Amino acid sequence: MKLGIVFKCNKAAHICDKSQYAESTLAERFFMRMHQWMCSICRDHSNENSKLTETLHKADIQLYPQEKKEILRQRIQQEIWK
Amino acid sequence: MTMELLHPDKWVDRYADYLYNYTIVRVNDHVIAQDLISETFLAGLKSKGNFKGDATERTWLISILKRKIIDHYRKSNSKKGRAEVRINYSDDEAEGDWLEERVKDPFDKTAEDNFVNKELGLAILKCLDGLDPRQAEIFKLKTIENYDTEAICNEFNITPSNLWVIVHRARRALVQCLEKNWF
Repeated sequence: MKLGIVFKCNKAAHICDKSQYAESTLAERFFMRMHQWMCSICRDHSNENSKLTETLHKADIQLYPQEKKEILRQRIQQEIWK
Repeated sequence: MTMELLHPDKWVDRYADYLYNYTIVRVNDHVIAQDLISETFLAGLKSKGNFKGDATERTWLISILKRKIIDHYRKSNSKKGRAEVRINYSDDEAEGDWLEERVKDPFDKTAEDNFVNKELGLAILKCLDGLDPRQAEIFKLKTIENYDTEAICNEFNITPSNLWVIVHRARRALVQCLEKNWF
């Protein structure tokens, strides 16, 4: 499977995504780099993906708390049914 | 031109995060922001008969929210003494220090940087609107809330492979959308 990463773009892209969340292993990253060394499309994709991660970190996004979303959903449903 | 329709049952999934970020920039208080959004949705439900379908749902909800924010400031300004600026540099030991502390930016960010980052956050959330709400939710939990893969898989009853496919698609869509609307 690991050697497949060297040759298949979709596997390299998958590892690239996992790497953005620090969930890839050292071996996976090694094979991904090897693939990217040979494949300019995946190299560009990786740069783009890293740039997106940086952008997402830079953006100050706050999420409406999950438990309060549920309360709000129920409240809206009650109002709809009235 | 297509007529926009209202889908109140999907408002929380589609717009709660966007409106939350929009409001926090303006009121700088999480609890007040949550209350204002709740009031906005309920006011939207009550006045849904007034929706003509010319604007998008989000634009219409924002127009209601803007009025709620203005009302909030009107109320807080009418409560005398509450809206005044307070500076806690009253003890003698701190005398002379406050100017340095106030001027120095501990996070090395200017007000303009903060504003741009907030706007960027809104642009990202707007782009995520284009996704299926469930996929957008999964992406937000993974990327913004940093949830564990396992926790999300259990919550949404999906396999890790499904999760990574969703994340990959969301990232591709986000790149395309941001390139078009932001960069």
